[in-house]
Amino acid sequence: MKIRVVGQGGLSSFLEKFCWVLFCVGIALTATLPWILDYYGKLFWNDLGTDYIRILIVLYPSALMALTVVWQLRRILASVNRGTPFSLTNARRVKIVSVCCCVVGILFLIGIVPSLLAPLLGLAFLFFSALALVLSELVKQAVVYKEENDLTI
Amino acid sequence: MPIIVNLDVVMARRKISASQLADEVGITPANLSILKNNKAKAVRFSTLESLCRVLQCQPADLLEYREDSEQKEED
Repeated sequence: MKIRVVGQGGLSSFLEKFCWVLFCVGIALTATLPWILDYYGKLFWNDLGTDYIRILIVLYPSALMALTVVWQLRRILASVNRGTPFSLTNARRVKIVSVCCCVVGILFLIGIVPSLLAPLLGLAFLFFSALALVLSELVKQAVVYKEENDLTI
Repeated sequence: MPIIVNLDVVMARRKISASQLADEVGITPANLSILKNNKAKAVRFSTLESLCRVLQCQPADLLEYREDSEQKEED
């Protein structure tokens, strides 16, 4: 079975729609974050106490960054579906994703969240940030090559 | 760019329209327009060969080197 990856009805089209769902769920989760954290804290640690505010300070900016990443990915996928993936706008979008991942990585690395997994998650986000930055430069180079190819008669 | 494409001059001499030339050479009118307006970054040998065949001319009739004023100042 061959999967259609790019174009209408392909994997990229499905992912674009999925990003919409993720974005909407993300907004709902961000809006109800204080209550969710309270419920989660009571469920696993009885009471978070003073950590409640500290965790909220990390989670709120992280949630906003994650929403930005999902939104930018949706727009990149939309341009892929339109057949115009190599543009400077997309290079800028990938750079925004990189900056957002970097912010989340730093927030988790600072260690405000009392969890052993938090620094690991921070390192993973910093790794994604570096990868996205390289990808952004790659898209920029692809734009130059495409322009040269388009202007070769 | 100091390389000038004198396609319009040769076309006028041969009394051939842009659409006819594009059709005979086998390129799109949009690409011919890019070539005519000196917007092209490169020309394939195959395109140059077709242009010379259709317009019955030499590559030198189509291309000309004119030194840039900026480059002149640098020298």
